[in-house]
Amino acid sequence: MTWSTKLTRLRRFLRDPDGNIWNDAIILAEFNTAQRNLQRQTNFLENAQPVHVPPFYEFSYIQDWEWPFLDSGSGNYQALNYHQQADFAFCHLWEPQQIWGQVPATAVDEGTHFTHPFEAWYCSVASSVVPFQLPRGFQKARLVAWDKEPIDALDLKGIQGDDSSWLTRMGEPEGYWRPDKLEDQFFLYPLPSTVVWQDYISEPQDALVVYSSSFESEYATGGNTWIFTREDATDAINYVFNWELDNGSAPDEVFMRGMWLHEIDSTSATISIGQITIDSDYTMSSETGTIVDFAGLLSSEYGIATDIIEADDNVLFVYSMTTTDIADTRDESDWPDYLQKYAEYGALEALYSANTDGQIQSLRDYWKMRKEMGVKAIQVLSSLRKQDRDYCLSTQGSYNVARNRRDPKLPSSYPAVWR
Amino acid sequence: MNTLETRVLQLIGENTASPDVFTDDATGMAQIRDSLNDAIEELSMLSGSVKRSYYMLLRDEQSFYRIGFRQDRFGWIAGAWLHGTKRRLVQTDIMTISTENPRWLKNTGTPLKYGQVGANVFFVWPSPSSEMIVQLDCIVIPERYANDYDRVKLRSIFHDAAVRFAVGEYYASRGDAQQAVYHHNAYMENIVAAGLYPKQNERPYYYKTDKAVTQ
Repeated sequence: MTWSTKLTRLRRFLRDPDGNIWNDAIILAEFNTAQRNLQRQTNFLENAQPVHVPPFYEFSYIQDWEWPFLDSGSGNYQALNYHQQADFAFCHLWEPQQIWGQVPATAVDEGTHFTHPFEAWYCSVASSVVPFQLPRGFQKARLVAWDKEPIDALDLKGIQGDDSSWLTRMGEPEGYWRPDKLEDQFFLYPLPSTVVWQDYISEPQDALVVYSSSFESEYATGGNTWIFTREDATDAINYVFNWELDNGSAPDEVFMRGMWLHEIDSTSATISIGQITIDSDYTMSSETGTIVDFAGLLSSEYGIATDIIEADDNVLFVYSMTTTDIADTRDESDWPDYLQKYAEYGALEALYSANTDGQIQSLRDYWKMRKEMGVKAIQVLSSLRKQDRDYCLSTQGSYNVARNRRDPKLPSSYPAVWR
Repeated sequence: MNTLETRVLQLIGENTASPDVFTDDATGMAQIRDSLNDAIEELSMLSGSVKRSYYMLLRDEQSFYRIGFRQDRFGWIAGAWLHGTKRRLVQTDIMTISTENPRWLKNTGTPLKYGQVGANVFFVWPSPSSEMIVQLDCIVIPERYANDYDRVKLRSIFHDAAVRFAVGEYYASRGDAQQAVYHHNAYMENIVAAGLYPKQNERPYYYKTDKAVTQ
């Protein structure tokens, strides 16, 4: 459910359809607060997400002032060294030394400097640690594993105490540490000495032949043949826009779809998507087009689409989330749509309590009651998800694993265990 | 207009034959349908009354899967059955399995356990050594109905509760908190009277002695 749909629902309960009392901005702000509070109270949202090694950054920048001008969806990397108080960037340690007036400057760096994180693995010895972006919405780790081996949460003080060469240490990562809580970054210690280079970035290209229905596939020859429509297995129809599938109820995510990639209007690429793209290995599904060659995405014809979370050669995070704020009318909440109404109740409570012409205490209390019952409902849901669990009593400290009834068992003729 | 919507209109004093405000079309019934759908979602979630089976392909050496349903909304997994080995997978969670076996992500073989992370991530242990099919019996939250002819996937015993839920929200949207609270309380009473766990009523309880060997 998009924000525009949700806004209509909220305005209905506020009895303010034209925004005479509460404008869109305050409703959005209160909804974002409410969904964050709901997560804090229930801790329901969790996720599992791999972080690629080497890390992906769209931009590297040097000066602090550059940051607001970088339109990045995957984070930015501040390269080299930045002297925060003096507002200058430098590469080698002898540079600030010389500014302090020590001539000749003699400070020697450890390793080679780099400006893009992936270059660290091309240096025989890298001069600095490589930051990785934490997964979106990261709040608290429940499991962190490098290449399927669990790693520990460390702190820099402990690392520096144990290892004077920590800055350039490479090897098999045994832990991760975070510099601060602002940047949502973490570092691996030691830095992996080898990485698996994967061909993630490739240029999309047009297909040679496109067709609209799956039966045409056998007639389409010549290589690079792709279907340009999307298939809905439930109704056995082919469609291009989302609204065709939902009888117009669901707004489309883009305003224009071209059959060929070259039909994309490059001046408005953010709202236009070409249907046919071929990507040799990998592409971020919704960002490039509808036809993607995504290793691991099973066909939705089975009624259940599955996206494999690749833990090999990556850092796997299983973590509790904090919700991402909704910013646009087409954004959706992180909450499953059947639970979003409880955040709406929290927003309504806050809006009715605001000192406006619409302030009504009785309605504030009503929506507060509804919100609190919603929190209890989510707590019940959390316990219901454990209904298939096998419980057994065990002695404190003992290793006790429930035995599966279908495990191999000794034959009944086997002699009794000697005690 | 289905029977639930008719009941709501009757309780709020609307003419059901020729409605004044809530006309019998998608626009006119939007508010009532939204409220009824909210009630159906909540009741389905709390009662776990709608279960669907899905057959999912486990890929070799892959533990974690993010799943998305084409129909209905995924609630939780109530059972997992591995057809190839005729074995039920035992439910676990990240903390338990990490404590029992810190290197569990490295293990491959025939899956013995499964778990759920958050709203839509499913994992198995050990990761399968080859591709295999697992049957997931999932509690789902039904798709929101949108038309007169859509099936309302709600046990009939909860119909009155859903109606009361919608009537309460109608009064809240009119600014009458007192009536809204009254009807929401009626909704709660209906839930309790109907029982959220009807399966428990079907189970006969009895005492066993140790005089006879029972399997």
